[in-house]
Amino acid sequence: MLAHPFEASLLGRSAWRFTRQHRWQSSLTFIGVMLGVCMVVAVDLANSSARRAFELSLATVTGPITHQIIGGPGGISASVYTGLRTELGLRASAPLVTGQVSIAGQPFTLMGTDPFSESTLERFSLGLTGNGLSQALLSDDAVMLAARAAYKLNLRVDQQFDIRAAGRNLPVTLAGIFPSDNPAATESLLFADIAVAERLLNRLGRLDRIDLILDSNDRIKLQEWLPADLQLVESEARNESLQQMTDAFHINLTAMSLLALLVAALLIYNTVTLSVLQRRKTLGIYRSLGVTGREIFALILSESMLLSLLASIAGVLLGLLLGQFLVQLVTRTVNDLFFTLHVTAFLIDPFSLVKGLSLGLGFTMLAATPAAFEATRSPPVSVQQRSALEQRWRGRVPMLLVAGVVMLLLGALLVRSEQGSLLEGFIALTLMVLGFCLMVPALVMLLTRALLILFAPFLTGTARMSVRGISAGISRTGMAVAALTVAVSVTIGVGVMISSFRHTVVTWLEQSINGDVYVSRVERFDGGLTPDLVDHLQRLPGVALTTTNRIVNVETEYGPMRVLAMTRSQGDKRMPIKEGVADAAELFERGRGVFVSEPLAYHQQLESGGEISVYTDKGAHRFAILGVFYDYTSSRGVIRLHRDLYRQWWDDDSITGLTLYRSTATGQEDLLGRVRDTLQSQGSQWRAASNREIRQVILDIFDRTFLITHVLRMLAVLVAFVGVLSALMALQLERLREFAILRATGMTPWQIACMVLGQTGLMGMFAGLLALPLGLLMAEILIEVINRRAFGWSMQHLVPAGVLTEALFVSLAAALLAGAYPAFKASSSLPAQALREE
Amino acid sequence: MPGPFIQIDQLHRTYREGDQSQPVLRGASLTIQVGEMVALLGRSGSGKSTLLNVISGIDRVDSGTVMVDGVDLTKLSERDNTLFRRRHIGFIYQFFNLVPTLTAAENIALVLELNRCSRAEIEEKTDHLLRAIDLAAQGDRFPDQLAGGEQQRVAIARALVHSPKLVLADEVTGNLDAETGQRVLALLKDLTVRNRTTLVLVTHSLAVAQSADRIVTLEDGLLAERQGHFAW
Repeated sequence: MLAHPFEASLLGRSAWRFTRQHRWQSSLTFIGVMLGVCMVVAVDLANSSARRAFELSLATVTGPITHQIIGGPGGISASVYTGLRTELGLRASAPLVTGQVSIAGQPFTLMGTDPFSESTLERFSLGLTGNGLSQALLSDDAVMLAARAAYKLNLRVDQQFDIRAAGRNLPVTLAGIFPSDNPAATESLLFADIAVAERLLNRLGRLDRIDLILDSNDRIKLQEWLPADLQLVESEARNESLQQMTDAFHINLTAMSLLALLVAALLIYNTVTLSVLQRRKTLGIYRSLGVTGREIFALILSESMLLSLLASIAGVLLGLLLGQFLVQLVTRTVNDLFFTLHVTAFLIDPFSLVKGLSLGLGFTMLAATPAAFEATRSPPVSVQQRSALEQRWRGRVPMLLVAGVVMLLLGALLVRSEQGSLLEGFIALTLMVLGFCLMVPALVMLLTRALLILFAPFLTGTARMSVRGISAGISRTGMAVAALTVAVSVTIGVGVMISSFRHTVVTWLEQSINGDVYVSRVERFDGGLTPDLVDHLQRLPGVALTTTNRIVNVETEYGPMRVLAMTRSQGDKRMPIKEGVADAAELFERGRGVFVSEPLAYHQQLESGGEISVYTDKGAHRFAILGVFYDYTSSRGVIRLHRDLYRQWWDDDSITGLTLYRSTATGQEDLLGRVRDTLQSQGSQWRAASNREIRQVILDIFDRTFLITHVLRMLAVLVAFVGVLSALMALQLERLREFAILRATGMTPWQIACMVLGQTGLMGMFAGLLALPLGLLMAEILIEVINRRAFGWSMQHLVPAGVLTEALFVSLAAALLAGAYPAFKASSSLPAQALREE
Repeated sequence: MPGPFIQIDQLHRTYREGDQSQPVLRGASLTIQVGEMVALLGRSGSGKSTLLNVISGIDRVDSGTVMVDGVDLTKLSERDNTLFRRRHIGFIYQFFNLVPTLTAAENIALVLELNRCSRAEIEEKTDHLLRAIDLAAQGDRFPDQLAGGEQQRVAIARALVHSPKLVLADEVTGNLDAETGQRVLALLKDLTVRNRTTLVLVTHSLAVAQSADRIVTLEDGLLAERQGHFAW
């Protein structure tokens, strides 16, 4: 049985003992890699769970269908379905009415279908097939649930229960339970006959869509027959465009986790390089004894491989745990920002685990290779000179500086293009981070020199030794400070990005949510305010001004998009404009065109003066683009047009929301009270909220969206902390012999402790200070390049002092903590013993 | 008649540091026969260690040739030089240079393992040498648990364990007291003579040098055969 992994090889045995002797260093590196891999795996699992749930839902609901007929805001008249079956003979078709409902507070998608038509589509994956479905849904309050959902809700067949739909509680009967091939996909689906669904959702006679299986002849025939207000879309293309909505969000999260892994990789680079330097003499002995460079290379690399393999496995396991938590955050954000998605199952994608493991190993190998290569160049012990090594390093510093500047410039070149890809953005970010890293040794030497000159009169002998020690051992201190700088800068970059974004949204909310009271229906996209109610509210005492809006989802040349039809009145500045044609506001009022949101303009490269094609009730129409407005409600895009223009193209008089402006003599709370009293008398499907409440709801969504980023940032802070701790502690522990000599020559334990703590503290401060410009640069790229390319949002810059002080605190606290143990050890052990141990 | 075992011809080696250059070897030549014990004497900084490094292929020369057992080390690649050293040369240092993370026995066994000897052979030879240097009981101790003289004996055993044709010893007694130094030197001589191993011994001690078959001095970068009294 092997006593340790390298039983067979003496070189390996020696390496193993070295690792054991430096267990602090090894453990902290282990933790760094583990956390990095954990983040990648957790984010990947959360993303893939959300994606998989989405795909399963789509695949289950879509099944074998090839096309869908979709209508405008008013839906599709039931006569269309009758027509295509009787006139065109398209039997492989089924009508569908869908809406969001809840059972015992849990969200469900109600799907109203025609059991007889459904049998022609053979959507077996739903478990709803043939006679079973027809029989079960015959009664007028019958619904069906998947077996797992019924079990969770503790419902039995024939049991009555309430569902909440369209703002009302309605009784239904569980007529049947269906088994499903994909429990995760069907768990949040509720089926009913189409007539029952229409009644429950209060949408009599209107279908949401018609699903079909068509061949090319049928498709041509149907397209000719279809009324202009309806649209035939390929189901696959539509699904894809829905999925693309969340791509940027997922990519961004992945990038965040990779950034943490990059930090971990730098820590590995630092640790491996340090361990090579620490063993320089031993490697020199090997070389003298006849160990080839290739053998030393393999030795160093296999050590790193073993450490990273163990750390990666631990990271994957930890990632599985963290992933279960993150999937809830990801799903909530997808629900908030994109579409309703219920992920009740945490799906473990083996590919994610393999990816995490491979990335952990790959990054480690990449990080360890330069150090392993350096190790092969260790001269045999008889020609080694420590001073020569430092001189060689000092000679390299200007070269590294130049290389760093070149990499920074390359990165800057990559981000210059306005429409570059997200990947280019990430490459640029990596180039800039690594470029800055290479500049750090030169900057550290500059800082130490400045310190020695500026504070010369105040520096004691011990303090001078601390400062000089940093530049004298630049081969070790330079790269340690570089790794720490990057680790700390990530926390600054991400912190500034989130703060800037939040600040931007708050400012935007102040500008755009400036009415006093907002009235809307409880259910989104579900009918509108009645004209009587609107009239009643407009006449309430204290109301100075009202504006209305109608929000609908329509098809455009770029896929489904939210359209907001609004009346613009004097005093209403709800639309902060980014850019526009001359007299854009006036042209908007006159219904001469539309405004598009910034993300839509960015992603589709639209600008004022251009056009956008939208499918209206009168067929496709190209609207002139009058301008681009700031909007943070959707990363996909919003189109705004005047209500008059909307009514010109859509047969829809509904009003989704009403904004009331109070007169100067009326208090906001008074008006809100009056509006709420009025709404209560009209039924419970209406709600009123003050601008403050609306802003708070939006900010809550924002905070929920960025909660996952906060979690990732906190993990990055932890990795940074571990990094500072490991690098500086290793540096100081290596100098125990030097401290013993100083003790032997008369320095007191207290002086030694002060020197150690002074030096680690100083290095931590250097790392913290250098992290400030790098962190701000990182924030700039995250804001102006990464987020812009991912979401299309522009942001104002805000540098909160808290983020900067936190970064300084992290590096300084970790540095002092890192110095504490070596300081204690150096000052408490006998000099003779330390000298002998060496 | 076999040719010389080591033939050094017109060696030149200059160290350069920035703008400054320091010539160490300026055309040094030397011939050593198989099984000879040659002492190399010289002042501190005269280039003795450099010459030793050159003979072992550890250091490069600016010009000249170094033939060891018919192989011109200056023509070998870095890798071939390393492999030649592994198989045919043993090195002993003033400061022992034992691997701190290997025990005494493991330090001795390392070179055998590098030469891919069988486990049985490694164990047999290591045990034999540990007994020969009188450290059989200390085989599982790490270098920092051994006294200076003991460490040097382990270093000698390590240099000889693979029966090299050439042993290079750099100030082997320089870090030891007189009595221990004598004992170490006697051991080294005994082990090399027994195997007809060629030994090149760098020293600045005349007493040590006088135990060699020949004494060669290195002065101003040149080698010379000397007899009689020395100034240092």
